Amino acid sequence: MLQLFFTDLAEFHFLQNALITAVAVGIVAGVIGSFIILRGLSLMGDAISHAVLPGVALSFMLHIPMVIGAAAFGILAATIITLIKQFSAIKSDTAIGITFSTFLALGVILIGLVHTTTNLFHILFGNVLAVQDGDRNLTLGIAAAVLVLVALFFKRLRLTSFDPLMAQAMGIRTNFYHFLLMIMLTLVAVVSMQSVGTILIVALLITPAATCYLFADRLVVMVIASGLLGGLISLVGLVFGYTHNIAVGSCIVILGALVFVVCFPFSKKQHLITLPLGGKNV
Amino acid sequence: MLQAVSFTLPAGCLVGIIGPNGAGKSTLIKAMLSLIPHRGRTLFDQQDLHAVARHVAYVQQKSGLDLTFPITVRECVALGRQADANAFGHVRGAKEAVAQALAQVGMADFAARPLSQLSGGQLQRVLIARCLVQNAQLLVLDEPFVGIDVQSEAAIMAVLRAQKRAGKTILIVHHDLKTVPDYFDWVVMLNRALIAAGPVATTFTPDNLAATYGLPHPPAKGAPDASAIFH
Repeated sequence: MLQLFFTDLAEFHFLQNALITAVAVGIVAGVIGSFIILRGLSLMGDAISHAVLPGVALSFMLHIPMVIGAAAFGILAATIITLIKQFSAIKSDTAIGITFSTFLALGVILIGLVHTTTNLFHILFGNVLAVQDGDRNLTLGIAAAVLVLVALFFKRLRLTSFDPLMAQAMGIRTNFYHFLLMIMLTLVAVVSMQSVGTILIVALLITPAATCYLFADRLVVMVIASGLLGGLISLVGLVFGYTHNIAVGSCIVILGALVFVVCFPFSKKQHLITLPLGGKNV
Repeated sequence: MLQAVSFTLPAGCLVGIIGPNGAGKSTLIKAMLSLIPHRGRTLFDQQDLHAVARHVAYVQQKSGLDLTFPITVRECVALGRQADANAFGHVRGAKEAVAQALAQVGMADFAARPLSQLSGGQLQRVLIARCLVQNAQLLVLDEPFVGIDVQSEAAIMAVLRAQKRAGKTILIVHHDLKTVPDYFDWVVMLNRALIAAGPVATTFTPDNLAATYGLPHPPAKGAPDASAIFH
């Protein structure tokens, strides 16, 4: 299986693009996903990944780069959800449910109206084997930018994730960091469309981060481990999907879930099974 | 809804905010710190409190924190230094300040521990150390003594008294009426509105307690009987 993959990898440019894109997306989704799950925003990740769809369609219509339209709609959805949550009695999961389903429906209609070679199925479920050089470069650029932003703002992101009330009381603009994270989340959602698609992005965001959360005692460890795990499962998912001729995006997602299930009983936070050399469970 | 609250506190004193459950104690401090929508103003040394927020250290109730968050004691205490940090969160001198604050609260040996492995009392000491690191002029603590051991409570009070002597003003939402005369210089008594505010000696009276806790008759004489109120 591996021999076939590496033989083809040396030969086919599309497979090289797929490998680079899938691993880059896995890494950056794992990193951003750490903050998303710690802030209780898993559903927000789901919402934004769906909400970018009308932006993608409008980008095709207006002949502008897809990332611009998608990012605009991602930010718009995050803003609407945040405003509904802050200024009404509606709870955030309700606001998310209303917003993301509306945006998704709008996206499906607009995609149907656009005469493009881009297949709706591929947007929804990804097709990493069809990644072009331009898409690959965009993914690498966005992944690098997001990683640099996380490194630069790491301390503030940690503070506002752990104790936002304390941060607000000492005069820190917590909304700025919330929207910074939402912008990064939107960008990750846009580039993830190629590898896992809008429907399954949330798994790549959440599952590696949730797995590392089970074991990590420090946020920096969780973020790095989650990025590495995301990259690894993307790589293995690609190899498995390619060699068995099954959907790569779904392989990545199921592999991530399997890793989580295997790790779960050994978690220091669950106390189900204590590893002989593991840390002290309290 | 909390309304009709207006009082002035002297700087450099320990202030207890008391009242029955649902009286609006936490709401009051959150409104003062602009953490919730509200009407009205809070002035600190003639300036709007929100404008001098850097000088405010706030510790919310333990129940409001995610204690499974992956963070060590050292990292948690260092968060207090963020008040002086730039937009990226970088600040100088954090390491020394954190070590010093942890020593002050008797938690130096726990610096590398994850927060999730601390007892309630240890956690509260760490959160107080975070306030010390911030070097704030106003400390606002929401029920810091709930669910902690006697030793930790005594250690925290010793640190807070030292802070008071250093000129800091400390507001504490408090439940245990028996300790009010011992712990505080001033008291703010609430029950959906301000009942009384002033020095403990003249304000923490049976009449005010009865009004605050909705008792039909104040205790006949002597010190307020906390057990009568709670049981």
